[in-house]
Amino acid sequence: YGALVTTMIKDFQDVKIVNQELEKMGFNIGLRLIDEFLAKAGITQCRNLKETAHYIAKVGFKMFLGINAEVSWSTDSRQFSVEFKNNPLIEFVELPERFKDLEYSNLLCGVIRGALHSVNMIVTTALKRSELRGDPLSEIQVTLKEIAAEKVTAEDD
Amino acid sequence: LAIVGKGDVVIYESKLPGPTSARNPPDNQLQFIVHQALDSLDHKVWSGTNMFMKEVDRFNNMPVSAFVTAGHIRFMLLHHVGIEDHTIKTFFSELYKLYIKVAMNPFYLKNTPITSNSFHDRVYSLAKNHFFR
Repeated sequence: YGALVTTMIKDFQDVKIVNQELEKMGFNIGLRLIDEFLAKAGITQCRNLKETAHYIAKVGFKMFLGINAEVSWSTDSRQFSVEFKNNPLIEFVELPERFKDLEYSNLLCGVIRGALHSVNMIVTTALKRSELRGDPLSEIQVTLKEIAAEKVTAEDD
Repeated sequence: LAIVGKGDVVIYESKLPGPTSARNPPDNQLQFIVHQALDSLDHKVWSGTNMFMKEVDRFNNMPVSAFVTAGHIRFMLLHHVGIEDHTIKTFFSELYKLYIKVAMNPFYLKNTPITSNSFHDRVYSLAKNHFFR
């Protein structure tokens, strides 16, 4: 992952673009990852956002990253944060000063957004805190924008 | 302490805690001493399979001990007489571990200067633990 990020920085030169591209890559991964997740976790449907948050943090993060994450809620019931430590993606990584605006783990934000998108939950995600930048833990904030209606495709007729 | 990479490029150097003394060579000579020792080291490097090369050169009465990593990065330590080989060997082994952590950082380019503050601090503590009892 580190080699990927450094190559992207070399290619794009601009840290902002790299952040966006990482998120996009994560999104594409998430679109497919959700199937593996649901199959392995054996869950069918979450009844509310609280359950969704719980499954992402407690089951998803454990399954794919091997770490335990916590959920914290804001006053807005449509927004929660996944907080975690010991992100395996950042092991051995030290962010140089000139890349302090790089959101190294932005891929994870995209994965969450993509996975939820596949189950018709449209969210925005943001990397709020990062252990790489000296914060005590990493935090990804998830905000629910809307629940999309089931799309009926032409073949279903 | 000097860490030397390919092409005899010094990628790290530092004065480790130890007794200050008038016998210490002046700062501008230190680099010269280490580079001279590199030549001696190059002769000995292929003579055996050990990474720890013990003493490879001497300046006045100060030995230079060396350690060569698998990737041919050389650790050179200029020190006073009287430090046991065993102590130096363990110091170098621990230093090797610290170096590996730096090398694993995707943002670190091989053979470039090591600028990490945490590496510097850790080397300093390591030296303190080993040499400054």
